Amino acid sequence: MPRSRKFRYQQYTLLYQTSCKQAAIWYNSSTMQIVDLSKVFEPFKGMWVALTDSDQVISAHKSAKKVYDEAMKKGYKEPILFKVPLHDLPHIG
Amino acid sequence: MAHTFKYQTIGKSNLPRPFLPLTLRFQNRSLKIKALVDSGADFCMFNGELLTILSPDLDLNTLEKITLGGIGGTATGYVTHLEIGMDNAFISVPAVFSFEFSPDEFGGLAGQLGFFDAFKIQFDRTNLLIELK
Repeated sequence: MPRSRKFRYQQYTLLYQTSCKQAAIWYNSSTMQIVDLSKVFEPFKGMWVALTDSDQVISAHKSAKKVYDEAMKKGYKEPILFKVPLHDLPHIG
Repeated sequence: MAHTFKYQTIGKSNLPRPFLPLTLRFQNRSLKIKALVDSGADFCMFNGELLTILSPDLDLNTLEKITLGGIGGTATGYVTHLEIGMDNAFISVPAVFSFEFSPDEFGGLAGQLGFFDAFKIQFDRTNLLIELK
């Protein structure tokens, strides 16, 4: 399990995950607003998920079409498709 | 009209990223996705699986084919023209679909050509908000 260490400097919080060697991230903790999708990462990594507007998982599968069709069958007319990455990696580009 | 979205994070790395909900409209079919706003992407790019939902019978040979470059090497992309919508405001953009997306990608990137042309985009990382006008 990754261990997280938090250091505080003025109003900022530095989150550093020691076992993942991830880049350090500075948050302004006084104004931080964020939507946490982590609940869809572990169970669905590498898969497509169909989400509601409030990010609740409707369906999940390796095929985007199957995810979409299943959400439609369940009565969701506008599911939001999202591809969950296979690995939790920093991106550049 | 301004559109404001909160940054979102996924996984234990806790990296906040500017995702937003987009509606893709192509040949009278539409599909809602969660896409990453990516100023480093030249085009709006989407996983090819989404194209098979939007247009199941589309013959890829009728589309312009291009080679895409990135840190992971090159990939083949198919150029289409579609409409991208946010909160029911739609814009026409050229977009590239590829079936060679990395498994670590998110499936949709809102890139420079078309998307950044249409909106004034402010990445407010201090407050973890993205605003489009």
